[in-house]
Amino acid sequence: MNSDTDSSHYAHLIIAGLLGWAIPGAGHFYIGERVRAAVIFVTVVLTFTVGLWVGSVGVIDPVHGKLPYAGQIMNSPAVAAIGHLTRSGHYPVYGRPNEIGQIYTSISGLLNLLCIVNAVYLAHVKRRGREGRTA
Amino acid sequence: MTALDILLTFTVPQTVGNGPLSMLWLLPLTVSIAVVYKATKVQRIEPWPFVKDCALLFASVMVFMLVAALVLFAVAYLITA
Repeated sequence: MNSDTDSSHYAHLIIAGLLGWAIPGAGHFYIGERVRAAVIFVTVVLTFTVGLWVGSVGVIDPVHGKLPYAGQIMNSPAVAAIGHLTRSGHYPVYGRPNEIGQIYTSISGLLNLLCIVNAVYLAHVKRRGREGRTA
Repeated sequence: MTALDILLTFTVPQTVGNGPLSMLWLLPLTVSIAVVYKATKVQRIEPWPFVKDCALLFASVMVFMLVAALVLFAVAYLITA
């Protein structure tokens, strides 16, 4: 395999990963796994939305909740925009709603991370399989 | 209800009690985990086998959590009795 094909392969993997991070399921959609993409999109977005609804946007707290934020940011870069909004501390949330909201949003982020890794893996396997057949 | 009203519900936390029933919030999360995990594992997603796989994984997780809870409860009981 020459270096041009190699770099195109790596670009393909990086695009699949970045799309999966930008929009949950988009990485799978990019590699042609449309049903899988739809299932992932609906489940991850629904889980994240339920977490936000229960705990309010205040559960995304990059200042006092750094550890949950590390999981939440895996949902999408858009979470950073919400974090910028809540950084001021104008959306306080305490107790059980905070716990449930943080758990839901963090777990949905970690699930999306699993999907990103899976999309990159499938992109790699599919591309290599296609190259193997044409060689 | 306008779109603004819907958006405003995301700025105020919902009322959730601290009782044991609040643990039921873990059930929908377990469903999500089962669905996404199975979506990344199965070769092909076909409606009925996929739902069956997800239900099986959900049930396995629930049984394991119940067993873990019982073991922890027994340990706590033995230590504090």
